[in-house]
Amino acid sequence: MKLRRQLLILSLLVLALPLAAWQFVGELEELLRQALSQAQQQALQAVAGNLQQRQARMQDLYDKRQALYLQPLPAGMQLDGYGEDWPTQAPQFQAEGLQGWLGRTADALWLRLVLTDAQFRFSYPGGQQGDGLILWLQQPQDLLRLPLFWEGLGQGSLPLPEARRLEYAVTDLAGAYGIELRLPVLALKGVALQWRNDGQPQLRLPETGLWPLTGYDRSLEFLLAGHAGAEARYWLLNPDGWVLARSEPPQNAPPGQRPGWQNWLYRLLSGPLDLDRAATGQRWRLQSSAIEQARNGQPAVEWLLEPESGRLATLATLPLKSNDTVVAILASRQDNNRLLTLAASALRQLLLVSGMVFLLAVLILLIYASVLTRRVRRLKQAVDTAWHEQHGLNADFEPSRAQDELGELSRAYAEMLGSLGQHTRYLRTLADKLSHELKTPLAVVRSSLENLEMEQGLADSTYLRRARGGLARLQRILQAMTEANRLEQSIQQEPMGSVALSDLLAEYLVVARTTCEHARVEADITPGLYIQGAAELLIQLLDKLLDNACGHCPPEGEIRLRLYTEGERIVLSVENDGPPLPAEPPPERLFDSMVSVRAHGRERDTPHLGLGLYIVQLIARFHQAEVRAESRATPSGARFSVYFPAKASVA
Amino acid sequence: MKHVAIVEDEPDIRANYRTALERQHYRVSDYPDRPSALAAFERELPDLVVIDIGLGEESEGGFDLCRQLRQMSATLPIIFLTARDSELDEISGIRLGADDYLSKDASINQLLVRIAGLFRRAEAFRQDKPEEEVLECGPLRLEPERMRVYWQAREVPLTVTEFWIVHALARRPGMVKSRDQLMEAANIYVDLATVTSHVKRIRRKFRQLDETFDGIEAVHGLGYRWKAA
Repeated sequence: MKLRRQLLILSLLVLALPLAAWQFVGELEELLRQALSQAQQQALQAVAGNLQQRQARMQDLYDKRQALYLQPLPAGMQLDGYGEDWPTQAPQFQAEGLQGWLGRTADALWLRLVLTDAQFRFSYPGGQQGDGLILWLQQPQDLLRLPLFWEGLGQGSLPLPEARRLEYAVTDLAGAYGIELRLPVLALKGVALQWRNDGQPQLRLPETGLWPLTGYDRSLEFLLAGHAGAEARYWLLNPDGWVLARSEPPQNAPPGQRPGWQNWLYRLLSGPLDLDRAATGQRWRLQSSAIEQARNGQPAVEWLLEPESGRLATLATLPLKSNDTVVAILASRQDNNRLLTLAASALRQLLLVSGMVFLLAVLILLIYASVLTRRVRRLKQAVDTAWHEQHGLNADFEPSRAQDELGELSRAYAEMLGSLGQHTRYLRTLADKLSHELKTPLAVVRSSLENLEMEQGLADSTYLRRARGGLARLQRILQAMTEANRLEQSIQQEPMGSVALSDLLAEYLVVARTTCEHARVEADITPGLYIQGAAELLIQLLDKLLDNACGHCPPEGEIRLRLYTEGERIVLSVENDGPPLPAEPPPERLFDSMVSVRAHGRERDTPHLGLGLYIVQLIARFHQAEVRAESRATPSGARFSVYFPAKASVA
Repeated sequence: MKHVAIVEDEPDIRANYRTALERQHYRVSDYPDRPSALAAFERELPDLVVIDIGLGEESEGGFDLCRQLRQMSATLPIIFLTARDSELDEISGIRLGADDYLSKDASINQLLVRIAGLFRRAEAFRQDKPEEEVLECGPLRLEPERMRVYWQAREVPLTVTEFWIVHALARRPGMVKSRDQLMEAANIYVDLATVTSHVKRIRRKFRQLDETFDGIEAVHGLGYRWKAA
């Protein structure tokens, strides 16, 4: 993986920043919510304190803590036995096979019963009594007992004292029967009912006495009114959650926000809060977990995100106790939409800032990575150049002055290249020094031999001849050793001129054929190619290439000289049949000084010090040309090419 | 009897050269270093001096000695012996007035040929007699007896080796002489590259007189020829 990509991935760590900030905002919000909840609870405490000072009210609430609630019913109720027009579907009281609701309109009391007894039997007129109901109604003066037995489905009525009539309706509810009663009696104190099966009493509700009745009480409203405001409403509930009194709904509640990304975000932020639960439910009965808790004696605060309006609100409840019994519940709903807005804007801010920080960090890291990469790449390039440029190995390597590790690396490279350069220079002059040192003793040997020959007339002596032969070989070795060095020293003084390379090669072919006798020498020459160069050096280059090809070419093999253009460049190549180039050393190293892969064998009198191709490289470099060595697959062989730069114009 | 002096720090070589020269009936004196040689030369000048460039501690003592000798005599023939190839260029560059130079690779025979050649030239110079075998080829004039070369009537300061190379080329203008043939002509047996550098030096010397000189033409892969004017 590139350095830049590594750093980019590293920069992803910056993403932890918004995560941390998110946590922080979440905690802050939690704190804020606790504070708000406490404040709301305190307000409820104040109301409770006010109420608890009123002994009579408290006593009344205590008495009616289990009373049946007369729920206010909407106008236009139909007496039909069906429950659709009743606001609450959950029964107010129930027993086995029986569910009951109680309510009142402006002029009458309504009772609704659902019987799940599939064996309901109607009475026969004047005959056997069927299943039925006895209803007791406690009026201020007297207790009214009303037996109710029906002869069939449908509506009917019963006479009541004072010329009033009880109206009823019975209907079949598929597996159950719905009974709805309408009593034009308002001032009731209590109620009880008994179910009769075949005239036998079955079930009495309540088991003894009467259920006291309770209902909405306007006289309690004043207690709540003082605390209510534009953003808060108060309720006094009986333990079942029925509304005993409430403050007026706020007249001009601010319009709720559309549920949107803010809500979604907030839900994400507040986590375990169950905000989806709609508050309050109906008008006359509030149902929620907070009220449930209060019924069990615990004050509670519940956070609600009203799905309709998208507003955030809190429902706080406080149980009112008398004699250790919960007699009523105080509840308040506080609009806390500001918190939502606040949290949302904080989150927005957070996302914006952390996003920007992230981008900035990525940008800086990218720039840093680029700088770093560029430095490393430049170092690598410098090392490569210094490495390949064998002349003055450390001459063009500028060590970095940077104080960091890269700078140290650069300096270490400079040092290494420096000593390598010294070593290379030493190696290069070694041959020269060696040949110089060898020449003097060689001269001693030769001059002695010559004297011996002249004085004693031993010219034909076998030993003398062998000694001279060995001497000549030694001398050739010394010459080969110094050739490269001499060329290196003199090459810069060679005059450059326009050289007709095509003609030169054509002439050279004649020589090549005589030089390399054991192989066929052929040529493909593109005519009319000129380069800027030194003809004598080019001949020397050809000599070395041919010598190399000749040395590797088997008898009757073919050596092919080629001159052609490739793009802008002129290519001079010498191919020979024979073994491919060995894997070691790599082909580009073949041109280095003292690298030879020639198997010693055939031409034993010619020394091979690995300097021939080095001379080729020296001359090529002088011509700004590039050398290449490669193996040829079919037929097996090798190719050495010199790529001269752009075509020189014909001078 | 000609008197030849050898200044050479290597005793074995010195002794060998001495023996060889004495066999040719030269009177030979040899000296191991510059001070002893100079002291002897101040008493008596020899007829020819062979000097090794590196003399013991003095790596260029031969050059200094040559300079001092030239102050004593302008005509004394001097031959340098060199062990290093690079010094060949130095000698021609410094142009101390040596008449010839020879690599230590060269055989004793070559040395003898050079010495004889120089004596011949000195003799001709001393007699100052017109030479019948003078070779003229355009602006080139060669006097083999005196070993003198003129280009556009000005003398070209060639060494003996260089003289024979030019002589071999100019005798058959237009004919290609291989490096081997040139070596033979000049009585030197060194590598081909040395011939190349001799030719280069010859060209340089001519060009110092005439910048447009291109009398010696390289024939690729074959050798050189004198370009007929």
